[in-house]
Amino acid sequence: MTEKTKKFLKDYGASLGLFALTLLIVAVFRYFSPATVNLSLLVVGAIVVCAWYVGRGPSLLLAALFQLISVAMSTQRSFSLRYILVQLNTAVLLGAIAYLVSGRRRNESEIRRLNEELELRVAERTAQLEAANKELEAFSYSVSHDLRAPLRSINGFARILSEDYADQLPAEAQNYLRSVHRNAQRMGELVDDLLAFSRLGRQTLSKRRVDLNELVEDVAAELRSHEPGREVTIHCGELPACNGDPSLIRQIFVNLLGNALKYTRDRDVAGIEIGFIPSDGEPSAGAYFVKDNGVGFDMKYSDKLFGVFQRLHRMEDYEGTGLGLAIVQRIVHRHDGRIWAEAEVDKGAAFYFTLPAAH
Amino acid sequence: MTENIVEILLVEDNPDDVQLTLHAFAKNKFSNRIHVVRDGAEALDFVFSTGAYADRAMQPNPKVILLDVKLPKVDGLEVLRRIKGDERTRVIPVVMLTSSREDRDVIESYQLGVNGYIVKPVDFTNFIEAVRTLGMYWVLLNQPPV
Repeated sequence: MTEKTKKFLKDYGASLGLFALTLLIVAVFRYFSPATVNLSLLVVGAIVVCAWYVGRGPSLLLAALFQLISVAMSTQRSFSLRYILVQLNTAVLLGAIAYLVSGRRRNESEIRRLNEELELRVAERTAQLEAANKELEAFSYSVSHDLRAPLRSINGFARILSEDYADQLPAEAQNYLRSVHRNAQRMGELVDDLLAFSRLGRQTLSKRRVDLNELVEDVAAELRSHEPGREVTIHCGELPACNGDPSLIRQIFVNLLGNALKYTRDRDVAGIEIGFIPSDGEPSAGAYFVKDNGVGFDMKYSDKLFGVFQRLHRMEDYEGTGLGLAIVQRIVHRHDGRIWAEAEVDKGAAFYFTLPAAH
Repeated sequence: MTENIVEILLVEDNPDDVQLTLHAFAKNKFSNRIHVVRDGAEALDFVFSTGAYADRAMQPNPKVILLDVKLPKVDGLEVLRRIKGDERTRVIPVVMLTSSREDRDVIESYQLGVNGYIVKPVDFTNFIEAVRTLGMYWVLLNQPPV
């Protein structure tokens, strides 16, 4: 016997069983209280149960059987038009109940099936994502360990040569060695920055209230201490506190202020302004900004500004790895904020960004 | 035979790193008391006086073991686990000297009972300085259990 016939027999058997059971109950009721309670509820109940648990076909069969038995047991023998209409009405009603209930049931099991399928697919995707994440972690681990080791060797041996054998090397050779050293150093910075950047995407944020005025003052003081000889005026307006990861928020200002200082290097007086532009309504929509009077950049390259390893200036003019703004953008995005820039060549640059307001 | 006593055991597989570390120690006048082993298995042999180091049984422990994380055969964390898991060797100070700045390596090392964790700086000047501080502290200042 195939599965299909098995199911067919089981379903219609259940329908007949329900029919018999209902009749039995009706008979019992009739026996003990011939005055008779209204038993139509029982019939409807049996059909509903059959439609819900067994299926459409069997429940329609059940409805038909009930209708037949009701006609067969009727004491009335004159088949008036009115009688026929009433019976027809009941038949249609019972059939409709069976049809609608089983239809509802079908929808429900279809939804459940789809849900299960969806859950399965989500689990599958999650597993794939987890695997990809693991791979990425292994990758950055290997970057951290395996790429740094040879760099240290290049750096170290170049340094030993230029320090311990300086008297045996002509000036030109010493220059080349300094280049080797400088490049190894730069690659070390690139590796470290890249690692920091990739870590940013994975690390979980521990958000709390961050008082920005204090933080900016601190960062500015630290950065200025690197170049004590320069004339710099930093003006910082009132900055509302934000809700974010303190060390990452700090990194935003370290990078932006660092850039502002870097690109104002050839100004007699470097001018840097930090402030906040409030927005009507939502406090989180207001934008913080860092402005400078430095060399700026051409706005037609603004789409490249936040890209990884993208640089708008030549290495010999302004040093850097091309990751600073990419890191800033990633931090802002991870705080559900936006960042954009306005600049003009030789007139200065301004960076605007939004952060969630402190509660 | 005091001049043969190993004060620093350096466990490092990369020959260039060995050379640079020895150079850094030499610059800081520590070189004559360093013994180098090149993988985790050899480190364990040295520490537990087995295999090639069976005749070392009567010698005192080194004042400090400098251990890389990534090593052939037995990796650094496993070497650390065995050293810190054995009563005879638990007291030997172990300092990880490695390129890895991965948080999980740092955390696991400390969980295993490491005495210090130093990320080798890429810059050679910083590296020499790190080695100098390291030798100064563990060999000269620190009082190990006898």
